Amino acid sequence: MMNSFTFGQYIPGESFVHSLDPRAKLYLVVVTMAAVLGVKTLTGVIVTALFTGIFILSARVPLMIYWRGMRPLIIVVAITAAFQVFLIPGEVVFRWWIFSVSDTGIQMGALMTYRLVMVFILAEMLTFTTSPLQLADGLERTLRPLSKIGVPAHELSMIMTIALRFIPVFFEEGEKIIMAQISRGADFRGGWIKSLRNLVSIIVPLFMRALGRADELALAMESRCYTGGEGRTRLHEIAMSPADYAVIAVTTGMVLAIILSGV
Amino acid sequence: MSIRLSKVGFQYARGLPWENTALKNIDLEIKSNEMLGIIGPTGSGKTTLLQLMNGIRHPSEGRVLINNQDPAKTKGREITRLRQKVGLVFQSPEDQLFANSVFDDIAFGPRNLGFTGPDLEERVRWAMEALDLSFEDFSQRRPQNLSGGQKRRVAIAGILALKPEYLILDEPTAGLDPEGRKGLLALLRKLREEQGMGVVMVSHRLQDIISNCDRIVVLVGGEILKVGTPREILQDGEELGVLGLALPTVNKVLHELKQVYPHLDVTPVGVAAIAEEIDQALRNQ
Repeated sequence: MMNSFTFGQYIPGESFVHSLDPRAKLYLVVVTMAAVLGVKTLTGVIVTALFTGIFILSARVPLMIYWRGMRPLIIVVAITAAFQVFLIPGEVVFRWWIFSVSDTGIQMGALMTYRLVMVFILAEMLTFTTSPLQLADGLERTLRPLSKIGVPAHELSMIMTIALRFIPVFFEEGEKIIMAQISRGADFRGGWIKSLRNLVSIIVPLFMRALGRADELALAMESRCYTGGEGRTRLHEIAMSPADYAVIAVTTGMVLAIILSGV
Repeated sequence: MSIRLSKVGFQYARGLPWENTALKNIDLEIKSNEMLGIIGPTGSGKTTLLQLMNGIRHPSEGRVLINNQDPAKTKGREITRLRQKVGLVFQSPEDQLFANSVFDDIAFGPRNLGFTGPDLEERVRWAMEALDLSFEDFSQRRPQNLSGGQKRRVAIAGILALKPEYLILDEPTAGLDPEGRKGLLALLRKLREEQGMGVVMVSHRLQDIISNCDRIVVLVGGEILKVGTPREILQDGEELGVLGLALPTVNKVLHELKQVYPHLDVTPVGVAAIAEEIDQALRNQ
């Protein structure tokens, strides 16, 4: 990878987290996300933070890379926190002009920030430590029981794999087109009508390339006799090990403890 | 007037595990009205080097001066004006066409510079004619319906309409048929001669570079291996072969013959000059 885009990238490694079965990792991440979104008290925050922290550290991916991936999200987090802080009523802590800040607002703002950041970090950990192929494989195997009632498990996982695989490709392509149009004097500051016209100069070529690529990919898959999920076997079958069951058990234990103790 | 790169280095994804050094310690000056060719194997940093020349990327080390102005320290309208002086044609530029008519696409650049009305039309017409696209026949056609070679020329006209002092092209002949390639190279020579434009082009086709450029830069692994006239570069032709840069077939023949006729000069450019040299060698036997 040449670019500095980190979100959704796979960073090969040999850590404990890398070696986990994708199903166990999916379970770990999804359940922990649910726990993070459900906690209401400081104790709950500390428990989920410690729990996640252990896995983040054992994944041995430099923390700076998580930060790089999260940077574009800061604005969203800041706006969400601001809404909580300024709009939730409660005991007023201080007042300035038309703004008033309540103690409940501060608490909710902090909690919301924590939740968003954690959800994002967990998603990053999943993609950093799991190759797209493994991820899709894990998802397909998890959803397979549902295919009996008509859920297209294989197709869903194939769509996801392709989407993940092409995030960096489109990022690179977009970067190239933006540079090309800037070289032609496109300016993304100034009046909004001008900016909009300049935006068209990027979106149209990007879409045309995307459609072209989709076409090529479909042809390439078809010429390799791809016909969908029915009867497909794998070169590397994934298998659960005792460590994977242990992770699932520990995660379940953590979330049960949180639910039962009401933190 | 020149583009000067001094001690330039560039890294992609700085500070990430997949950090990648694309260029190191580049010293190069491109004079106006010069035709400079850059050759090098894939991944040698050719494209990055071109992007540094027009200030669309800034160097990690060292600095770039365009007509004595540093694009890394230029802001706002000034930087747009600076980039206008150095027209950069990206690889497969036809990918960036977006407008509904050839006219609108070529006019995109000049419009961004503030041209309107007859001035705008005059520029578009000039750019189209410089690339052998008849204004009457092509200006209202949809770019999507043109052939590959025509699209390429429309895209280059879009840059030319900025009336740059330097025209920088990344693999301009890639993917064109022999006719299209010859035509495009002739147009580039004409632009240099008639408009006094400085032309820099990257190609992996040594043939195109040797027979058109005044000076050639050989880039390997992000560093300049050699700079020289086509004759100087041909002198060590074997070395290029090792780097995976194929010599033109006729020059390869010369190198082979040199085994038998050690006094043979391996530097002539073009079939006629080479035939002459071989003829001389045979007579002097």
